[in-house]
Amino acid sequence: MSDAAAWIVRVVFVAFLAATPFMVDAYWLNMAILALIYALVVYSITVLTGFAGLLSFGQAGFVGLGAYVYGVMTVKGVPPAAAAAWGVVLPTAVGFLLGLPAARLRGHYMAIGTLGFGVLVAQLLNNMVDVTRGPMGLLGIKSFGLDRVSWFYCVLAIAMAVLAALEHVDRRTFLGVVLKSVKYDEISAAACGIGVFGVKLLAFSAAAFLAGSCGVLLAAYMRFLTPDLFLSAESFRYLMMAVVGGVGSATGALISALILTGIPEALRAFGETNVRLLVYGLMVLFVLWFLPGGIGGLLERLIGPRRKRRRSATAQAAPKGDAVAGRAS
Amino acid sequence: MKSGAQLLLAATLGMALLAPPALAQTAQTPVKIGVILPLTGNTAWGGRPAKVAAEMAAEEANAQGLAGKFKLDLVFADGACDPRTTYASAEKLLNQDKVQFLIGEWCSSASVAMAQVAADAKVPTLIQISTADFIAKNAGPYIFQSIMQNREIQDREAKLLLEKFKFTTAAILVENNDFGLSFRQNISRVFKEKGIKVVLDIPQDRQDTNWYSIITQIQGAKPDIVVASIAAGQAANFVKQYSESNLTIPLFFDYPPPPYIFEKQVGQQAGKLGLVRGAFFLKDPDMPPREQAFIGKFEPRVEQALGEKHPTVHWDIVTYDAVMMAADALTRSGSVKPDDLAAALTKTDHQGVLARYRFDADRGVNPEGFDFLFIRNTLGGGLEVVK
Repeated sequence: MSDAAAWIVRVVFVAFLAATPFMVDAYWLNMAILALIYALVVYSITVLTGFAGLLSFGQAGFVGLGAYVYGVMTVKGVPPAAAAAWGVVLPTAVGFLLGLPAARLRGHYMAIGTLGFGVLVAQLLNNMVDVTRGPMGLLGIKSFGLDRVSWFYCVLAIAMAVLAALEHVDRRTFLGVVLKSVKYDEISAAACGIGVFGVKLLAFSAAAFLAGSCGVLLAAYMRFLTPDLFLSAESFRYLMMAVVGGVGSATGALISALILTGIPEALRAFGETNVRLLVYGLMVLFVLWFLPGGIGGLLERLIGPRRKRRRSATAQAAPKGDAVAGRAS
Repeated sequence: MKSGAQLLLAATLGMALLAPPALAQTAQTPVKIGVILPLTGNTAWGGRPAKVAAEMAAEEANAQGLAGKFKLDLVFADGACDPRTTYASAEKLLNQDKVQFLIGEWCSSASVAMAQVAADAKVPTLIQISTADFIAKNAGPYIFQSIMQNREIQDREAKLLLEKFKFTTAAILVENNDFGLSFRQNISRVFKEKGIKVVLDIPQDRQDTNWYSIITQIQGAKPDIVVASIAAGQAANFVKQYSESNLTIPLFFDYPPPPYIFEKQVGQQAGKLGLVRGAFFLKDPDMPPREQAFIGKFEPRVEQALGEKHPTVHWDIVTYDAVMMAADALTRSGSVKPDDLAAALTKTDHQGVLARYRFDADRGVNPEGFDFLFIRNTLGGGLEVVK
């Protein structure tokens, strides 16, 4: 695909998203808003797993923390803006603290450690009845007074801004290179003078920030909370979105969140029975079977030839013998 | 002329005969009622028969004109006992199907989700099964809870317990969910007031299937009675393990384990223990005639619909009653305007199959309208009402 064609695809995609309120009814607009909010937590997995190579099974815990901090504070009368700030800061701080021990773990050990964190948060939300109302559910959450269309454009703007930032970090910054070096070979990265532990801690905190933001938006938009929304099963749902999107691809994460939030609703056409769940499962399997790199992998394949051409053109333009220029471009 | 006049008369008569009567025309004003039930997932065993009960109620209401000038048109959606799914279902029913009234869900966390969506849309809603405290009160003026709430059920249970059993010490075991935690809170309060000493107080997660360590603690604490709130599948596990441990300490269960399904799983063991539990309803020769009549028409119908026998449980009846209450409110309000319907619901005084339904100032149902029973497992694997 040429550069121009790639840009046209991007513009059409963003224009298509921006036109959503004019094309769908309130129900589908609601699903689109939820999908864009979920995209934030999928981005958090993109940062943690895709960029830094750290596997987390506990992202729902951070979402739950952000959501409940916001929800409980607004119910107690704190203004929504202040509650939102706390709802983001607290999960980020917890992510940093969790990162202190977790960043020393590797592979399966880290996955189980984060799973434990997710279970712990779900238990706390369920059992701190005096604060969270536990399984009885939290109602009466205050919001920002936006109508549905305004909500859509707000979360679309946030999702696109984070997407642009992640793509920029991934492709055009030294931090992206550092994160990948830690992901692919910690020992070599450390030997090159990269503070591996600090990088992992940064990734943990950034992922917790994104997941906490997702929780705040979820609570402010839906205006009810129950601990069932943040069980470990939810962490696996977010992870599934990230895998279908292609772990490491922020664009894939966004598209996957949109598709995997919308499809179960679209499948209601099969009737309110187990058939739609079966079809949903088969569709996810189908994607993983034929697109092992996920949606992001597919996008890479489509845009890949353009990049290869650009690389070879740069290599040819470089002075003879300057192979490094070709590799670095 | 004469023939012309005769023709005109005949044509007029013919048109009058062909035209439907005015009353029948107005009786056809459809009202969409959204019903969210767990039609998939772990609780679908209960949601599917409850759907049949709702359909039966709507047919009867339409056939007998119980909704006044309105015709009830039920639209079902799956809530899967899951707040996220129920939230999406409520959104769909309100924004796509344009329902004017909502009934549902089953699990309290899902009903909380539905209540918030309905409250935002200002659509009158009946929560007919979920017993978590104050869902209606917290959700606002359009939401009504037509089932006794946990604190009321457990007050009734505590009172009955103190009447039927003699004990000075008790062990409390609960599942870590809304039933369990509120049961623990309420029953502890009543026991404290009555001077009953709680020698063991343990919550356990639903996914933990091994109760042996807790049973060992019970053996050590030697309470006069064990009172537990453990739902469905876990209750069966617990009873099996309790029975295998040969404990003879009387065992009482809060009402969640559904009769008949539970008996299929561990009826013999529960009979051996003489397990007693709370219930709103039991198919029994002494039950009121209105319940007998309901069972007479419901059980053949549900067998036909689902292809298997399904003994009636109170969840079926309250769903039937909820549709009938909606019909009653429509008749009295004569309008589908949310404020009129909510006002009519507030003034409900409806004799349903299970109870007499009246709402209090917080839009919770008045518990006086409900009977509450203790039922006991018998050695033959059956059930009897504790007299």
